[in-house]
Formats: sequence, C-alpha cells, structure tokens
Amino acid sequence: MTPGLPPRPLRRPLRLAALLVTAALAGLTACTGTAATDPTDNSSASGQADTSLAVGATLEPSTLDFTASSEAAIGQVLLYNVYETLLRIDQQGELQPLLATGYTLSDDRLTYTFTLDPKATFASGTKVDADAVIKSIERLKPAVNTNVSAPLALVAATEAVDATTVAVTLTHPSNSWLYDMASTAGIVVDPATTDLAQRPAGSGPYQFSTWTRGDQITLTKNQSYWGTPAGFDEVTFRYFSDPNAMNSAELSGGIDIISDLTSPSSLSAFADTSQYQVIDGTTTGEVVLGFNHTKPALQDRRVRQAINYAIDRQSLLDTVWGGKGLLIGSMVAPTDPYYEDLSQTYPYDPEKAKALLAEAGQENLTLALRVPVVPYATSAAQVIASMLGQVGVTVEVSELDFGTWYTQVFTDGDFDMTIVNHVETRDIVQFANPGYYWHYDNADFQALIAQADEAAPDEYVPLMKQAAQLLADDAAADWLWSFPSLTVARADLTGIPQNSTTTSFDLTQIRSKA
Amino acid sequence: MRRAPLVAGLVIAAGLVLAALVSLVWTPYDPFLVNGADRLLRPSLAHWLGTDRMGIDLVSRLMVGARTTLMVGVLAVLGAAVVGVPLGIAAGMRRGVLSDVILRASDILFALPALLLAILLVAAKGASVATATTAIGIATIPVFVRMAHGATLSVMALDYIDAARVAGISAPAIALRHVVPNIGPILGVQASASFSTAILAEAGLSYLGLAASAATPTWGRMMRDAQDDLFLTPWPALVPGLAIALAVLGFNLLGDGLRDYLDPRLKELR
Amino acid sequence: MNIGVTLARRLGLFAVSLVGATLVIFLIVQTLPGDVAQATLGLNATPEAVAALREKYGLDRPAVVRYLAWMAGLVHGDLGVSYISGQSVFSQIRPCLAVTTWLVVLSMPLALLCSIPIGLVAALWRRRWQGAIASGLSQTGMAVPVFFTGIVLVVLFAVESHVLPANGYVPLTGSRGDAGRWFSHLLLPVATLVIAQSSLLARYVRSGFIDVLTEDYLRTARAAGWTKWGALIRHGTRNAAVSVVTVVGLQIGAMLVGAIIVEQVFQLPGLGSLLLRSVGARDLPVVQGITVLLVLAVLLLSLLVDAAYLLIDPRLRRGQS
Repeated sequence: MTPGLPPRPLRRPLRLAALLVTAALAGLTACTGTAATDPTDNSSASGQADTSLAVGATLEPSTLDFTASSEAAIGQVLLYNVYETLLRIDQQGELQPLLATGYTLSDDRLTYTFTLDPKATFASGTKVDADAVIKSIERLKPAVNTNVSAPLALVAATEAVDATTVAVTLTHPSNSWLYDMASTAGIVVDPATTDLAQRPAGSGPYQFSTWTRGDQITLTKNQSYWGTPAGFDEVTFRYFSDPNAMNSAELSGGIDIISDLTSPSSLSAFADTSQYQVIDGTTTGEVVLGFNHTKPALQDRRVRQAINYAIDRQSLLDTVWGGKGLLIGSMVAPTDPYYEDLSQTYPYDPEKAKALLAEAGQENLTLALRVPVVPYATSAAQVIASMLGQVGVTVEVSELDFGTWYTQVFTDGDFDMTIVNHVETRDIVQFANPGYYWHYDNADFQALIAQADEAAPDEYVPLMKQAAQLLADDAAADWLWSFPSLTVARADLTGIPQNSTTTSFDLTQIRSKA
Repeated sequence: MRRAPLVAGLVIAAGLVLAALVSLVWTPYDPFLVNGADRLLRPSLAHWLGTDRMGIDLVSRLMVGARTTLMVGVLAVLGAAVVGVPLGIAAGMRRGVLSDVILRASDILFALPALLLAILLVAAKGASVATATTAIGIATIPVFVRMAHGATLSVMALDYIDAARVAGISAPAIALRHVVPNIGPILGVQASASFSTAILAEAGLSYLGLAASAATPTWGRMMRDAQDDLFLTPWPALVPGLAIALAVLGFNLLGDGLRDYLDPRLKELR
Repeated sequence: MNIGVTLARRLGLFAVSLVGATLVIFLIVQTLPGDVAQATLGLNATPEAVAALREKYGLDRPAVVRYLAWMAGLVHGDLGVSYISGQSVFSQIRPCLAVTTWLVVLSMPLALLCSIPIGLVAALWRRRWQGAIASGLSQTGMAVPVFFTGIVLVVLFAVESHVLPANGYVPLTGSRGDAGRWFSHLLLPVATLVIAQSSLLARYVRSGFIDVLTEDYLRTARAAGWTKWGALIRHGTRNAAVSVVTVVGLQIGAMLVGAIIVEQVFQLPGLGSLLLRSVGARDLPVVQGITVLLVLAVLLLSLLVDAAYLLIDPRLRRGQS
C-alpha cells in the first residue's frame, strides 16, 4: 500500500506473531518497510541528535488565548516556556526573578517598583522594556478570564520610571497580588502580536509553532533567547484522553514524558529505573469533598464533622490514588507559605461520627453525592459511599459529565456533596465568597481573609494560617488529599519539574544527558 | 450435535440468570463494601476470582454485575421490541403512506446509531444504567421494525390470510391471531441476537465512560475501572471481560440454535 | 425501466429523512444542560463573565431562531462556526473526517476479504471440524468487546515488542505528512476493526451460502452437470452477496461509530474523538455538524445499498415495481 518505501533495518527483533499479522494485514511485501519503521515518534535514541521531546498530557486546551479561558492546560504549555512574567514561582512556591531582577515595595504597600533585566527581549527581537510591560498590563486588564482580570483590577496606575524600571500602584495593599503576577496574570505579551489565540508570542526560551487540534501542540526553540538556551529544538505536547493510552505510549517509546499521570496504580509499569524515572511532587490542587451549605443537614457543624470523622482519608488515598499525594486537612497546598499539616483535625473515628450524627438527630441521613466523571472523583465517591454507609449515612452517588456538573451542581446548587480537585493557586479565598457553589457563609472567615490580604507582609502568613485553621475547625469541607504531581520520564532526562506550583509544565530546565 | 449450540446457549443463559437472581439474596462478600486492605488480590480459596482495586470480591461483584448487565439487555431489547414490533407489523399489513412513514422514521433512527444517541443522552442526563438502557433500546427499535415488517410481508402473502380477510376478520384480529404467532419464532431469534449486541454496546459505552456508575456496576463498568491496573494485574479486567464474551457467545449460540431448530429447511437437510 | 422511478422515490424520501434528522439532532443537542461559556471560564468565573460570553455566542437567542439560522447555513453548505476555536465547523471536521474515513475505507474491504473464506468454510463444512473452527473463530471475534481487542493488540505489538506505535496519528499528506508513519500508525486500529467486523460478516456469509446449499436450484444445477464448486460460485456468491451487501450497509453506520471506540483506544484524532470532546466542551455547532454529517453518510450509504440491491438481484427489481 505504500510502494516505493525503502526497507529500513530492523531496530529490534520482531516477534514472529507480530510480523505475521502485520504482513498478512498489509499484503506482505508492501508493508515490510513500514513495519520496520522506528515506532518512536522522535529520533531521540540516536545519540547526539537529541533535539526533540514529546510530552504526554491529559487535557488539551480549547484555546491558546489565556485571556479568554481559565483552563490550566493553556498555562501548562505556554507559561514560562513561551510567555514569561516579571517574577516567577519556583518549585518550592517561592518568588524568583525572571524578567525583573528584583522589586521594591513602598512603605504604604501600594507601589511595587520592578527593575527589568536589561538583556530581556521578546522572541521577535523587541526589547522587554518598561513600555512593553505597561502595554501588556493594559492589554490584559479587560480579560474574560477572571484569574487574569481580577488581580489586574487592583492596578490603579502604572509608570515607566525609565526604560528598565516599572512602577505599579495598587488601589489597596494586597499580599496575594505579587503571587498572582508571578503566574498567568503577570504574563508579559509581545506588543507586536495581535492574536493571542493563533500566535501566542512572548519572551520565553520556546516559541509556539503549530497546533493540530485533538492531537498535539508543537513548540520550537527560541534561537535568540536572552537567557539560558532551551534544551530541545522542538517540544511536542501530545494529548491523551485515555490514561492507559498515555502509559502505552510512554512504554513503547512514543513519548518521552508523562507530564501528569492520572492512574497512579500503573506506576509499577515504570519500575525499571534504567529506563524510567518517576517524579513524585505536589500541585496546588486540593481534592475537596464539598458540602452544600444551604442544605439544613449540612448547616449543622456536627454533621460535617461526623462526615470528616467517618472518612478514613489515608485508606481512601491508598485505595483511590495509590497512596500518592498528601493529607492536608484544609484548603492549603503544601507549597503555599501558610501551609500547616491539619490532617489530624479529624482522625478516623467512626464511633465518634455516629455519636455526632445521633447528637444532631441525623441517624437516617441520606446525601446526594454528585461527582464529575473524572478518575479521582468517581473512585473516591465509591469509597466515600462505602465509608459513610458504615456510620449509617446513605450516599447516593451520581456521575455527571463536566458540562452537566457545571449546571446541576455549580450553578443550580442541586447537590448535597461533590468532589472536585481545585487546582487554582491560593483558592482558599473562595470560602470567603458566599456566592460560590458551596455557599459557605462565615463572617469571621471572610473578615480574616480580607484582613490578611491587606496586612503587612509579615502578618500575612500567621493570619492565613489562622484562616485555614478556622476552616478546618468548622469542617467547612472535607479536604480529601492534596493532588500529587506524578511525572514519568525517560531515565536520561534531567531538570524535570517536581512540584507544580503554577499551571506551567516548566520545560526550561529539561535537558537530555545523552 | 445439531442441538449443541442451542443447548450450550441455554446453559450459559440460564447460568447468568441464576447468578443474577442469587445475587439478590446472597453474594460471597458485600459487593459494595470497600476494603482497602484486600486490594487486587489474586484468585485464592477465599476469593475465587480475586479482588478488584477497591478490595471487593470479584465473584460478588460479578454476580451483581450480571444483574445490571442482564437488566440493561432485557429492558433495552424488550422496550425496543414492544415499540418496534407493532410498528413493523402495521407497516407490513398496510402498505402506503403509513408504511412509508414508519419505515423512513425507522431509517432515521437507524442513522443515529446507539453510540451517538448515548453520547448525547449521557451528556444531558448523566451517565447511568437508565440512560445507557434508553440509548441502546432506542437504537434497537429499527432492527425490530425491519424484522417484523419483513416477516409480516411474507405472512401476508399466505393464502389463509386472504381467506381471513374475505371472511371479514378485522386487521388487528388478523395481526393477533395469525401474524404474531407466525413471526414469533423469528422475533425470538432476533431478540436473542439483539441481546448480545446490547451487552456489547453497554460495554462499549462503559469504556467511553457513558454508562453505569460504580454504584450499579455492569461488567463493562468493571472492565473500565480495572483498566488502569492492567499493568499491575490483569485479573480484574479479564474476569468481567470473559463474562461479557461468555454472555455474548451464549446468546448468539442461543439465537443460532433457535433459528436452526425452527428452520424446517435446515431440519430436512440434516 | 422501473429502477429509475424507484430510485427517484428513494431520493425523495432521502431528502425528507435528512430534514427530519436535522430537527431531531437540533432538539437533542440544544437541550444539553450546561453551556460553552461556563465550560470555558471554569470554577472561578463570575456570573457576569459567563453571561457576557453567552451573549457573544448568541446563546441568549430563542431556540427557533437558532434552528432557522442553522438550517439556513446548512442549505448553503455552511455548518456554522465553532464556539471554541472560532473556526468554521467544516474546517474543524475535515482533518478528523480524513482520519475516520481512512479507518473505515481501509478496514471495510479487508473485513470483507477475511470474512468470505471464513464464512465459506463454516458453511461448506458446517458439520465437520473445519466448519466448527471457522464458526468458533467468528463467534469468538464477535463476543470480545472491540476495545479489549485493541488494548490486547497494543500490549502485544507496542508495549511488549515495540514493533508498532501504541497510538497516535500522523497524516498522510500535509506539512506533517509521512506515508510510512501514517501507515504504521493505522495498522493496529485497522486490525482491531477488521477482527470485529469480519467476525460479524462471516456469520452472514455463512448463512448466505447455507441458504443456497439448501435451495432446490443448486441441486438442479448439480443434476444438470455443474460441479459442486461451479454451482456454488455461480449461485452462492450472488446470493451471499445480497445478504452481505445489506449487512455492509447496516454495518458501515455501526462501523463509523465503532470507530469512535477504536479512536479512543488508539487516541486517533478522528470524528469520534472530536465529537466526544465537543460534547464535553458544549461546542454545540461542532456537535451538530458532526451528527448531521454522520446521518448524511449513513442515509447516503443506505441509498447506495438500495441501488446495489436492485443491480445484484433481478428478482427484487421486479418485486419493487
């Protein structure tokens, strides 16, 4: 069927059966050339010509325009790789210089003055100067994506002090603003680009090349990068809607990295350390068993605490997610500066749960658990239904398509409990918004969050710790576990990011040893 | 030998029905109680087929799965037959506009295959046994319309139907007294074959995450849940997979056996 | 002479069916809960931002207006514009259509080719071991869920032996085009479909030949001096062809959709994947566009099957008049 293809030498001994079936299918001779083709998509195995990298990922973005959509999948590809920010968040959750070498904060905590790296240029060759930064802020202000527009709404004024100095004045002091600006909201866009959806252009070590919808996005090396050059000429993000297929691709050499493994029990397939490395880190995601606080039964704190006592989270994590991930106990990711281990607030105690339920007069409680069809949620729901059943709570589980989930659960509030991995950074503040789908309305907590954000930087962390503790004591939700970042990579790759502190899959440090 | 397929089919079908019925009153272990300590055990005396990723005994789960799987098949096929057969008979007995409308509508339905319907239905109503059954049932209607239509046409060509008509017997009466008994056997064969198709369709829908939830497991759903552990241990995926294959084989054999048994021409030949 | 009339009538019904189908599709698709605005904006979106986006997509217009607008576009061959990519639905579908078409076009003839010998053996020696094996093969092939076959093939040929790629797709032409890699990426998916389809077809081939074997004219033909094989080939193939053509017609619809599962197993960016993705994202114009195209394809094929019928079997030709 493909006549004229020269037969290539076999790389591996072919299994007889494979050859026979292959040959029978293809009409014998015509296909031998193809059957012998190296199935690995990148020519990486051939030594020094190691210039391309294939990365498997789960969710494909629906658009590349980060101002139009809040999908984490956009940042996964573009943030820090194609786009850069003034400061960036490192693997430990600390701020590090990027386009800006440093900043100062005024005494009234309203004005940030950034010093730009004089070397910084966009991939197009234009200088990243104060004007470009200000233009970018103005451009992103009206973004539809609230993760971008909300922090920028705090910006009262910008000023180009000189070519490499930008002063940004806020409407009121905010401790979270600088962190937001180190992520998607702080992206500095090349003023020359007109279409962020088709031609994303920034100052990063990689440039956007092509996007085959439903399949892959390709980045190429920015040859004139102002910092440390990229490790590969080409990086391809390939999208897999089926975790098993992504594992097979890694195992058969079709991809080099699984950037976000969603079937932890399959890790044993990558146990051979001479071929693979498994990197186990943290993300900013908290898997939340959320309560609908408008339901009378769940307005009773004793019922919420009983549910917390009745769920053996360690066993849940072992069963559902192969024991990968951390028990947290509140809405704080392990890399957040105000993180504290609150996982022992409600140790597993079914008797206490029963007692609390009896005290609340809820011995015959029935709760609707509506979860989106994603692996962690459906599996966790099954376990939780079983565990709550042990303390006399009947759980009716239904699995909803994410679109339907948005309508039924998120918008219409037609649920008692639900499970979602909340991946946004520092999203503890959502509990201060009574309009949010949990409808958690606690004046003390709201006051605490507002106070913390405007407080002096050294008061921020203690106040936030207090807020997280308050949430845990009030059993505002059941925080099941902190979502792990599980990455599988070819053994010879270095610089694979361990923790996902932002949405970015940071390619900038990845190199091949070969 | 001649009746071997029929007997084999009957035995398999009876076995499945029995397993499903017994599961209503007894299973070796609680099929819904998650047991973290016993995850992914290999087959042993305590657990004949091992346990799944939730530590649930696979025999128990399989029995409960038989219940839902058979229910999906029975309800889908029965529903499709109840709607499709009368339409098919009507189209076969009265040629003309009615017949055209019925057959065309059935064609449109046929053009919207089960999977497509299921994808849309599930998006609208959420994944459940009910939506999967509905989708498979609706998609099976045209099969029965066509089958009943064709069979009715050949019955209507028989002389005694003309005689009945001349005698002034009403159309519904003819349909009940003469058509239904005549086309009954062939519909039985079709029902058996459709049943196999329904089980496979359910497995396919489950694979795509469009069918049963874990609370009402079907064999398809069990396979899907076990898929991630395939590299760890193949048991939890193989067990429901073999159950599906056995059921499909059984009902296909039953259908073939029935047809051979009922087809006089083949009787002569053998 | 009557063929023309019959075909014209079929064509008319075809058009009516198509319009009916669009209405059904629109009604189902538009009643999906949730919408693209919420799906795009995510968990942190404000209600105002969602409302603004809904307005931008015209989701606030009444359903009748949206249906008529869609139909007006369809008449001009315009399937509309995707909410998500902002590109025309057709340009979105085209590359995916190519993938699915290749799958079907490559696997259907192969399935036929494989099914005929199996079915023939099963029919001729149906009371001997050869026939039992052939029937057993076809029964087993039918009984195994298609995704299971696919996964087993991936494990055997990609994960264990690295002979073929586990999944993914490389286009045949275009900037990323590569004929060899296109072929190697399609081998396993096609094999999966062929195994499932040929098993099913073999059953019909078998019963088609058995019918002939039992019919009087075959005995007559043999009495008239034809050899067994000569009679079989002359009458058997024609008779078997009638039932096979019917089944192929019915099967292609099933196959297009069966391809969705295969696309999922092998992560091929075909129509099925696009459909699943678009339903998930509530990109309704794309969902409607794909559905209409699928229905159109199935209706067209059944039209062709009807025509093929008339050509193969002269008895039916008379029956139609």
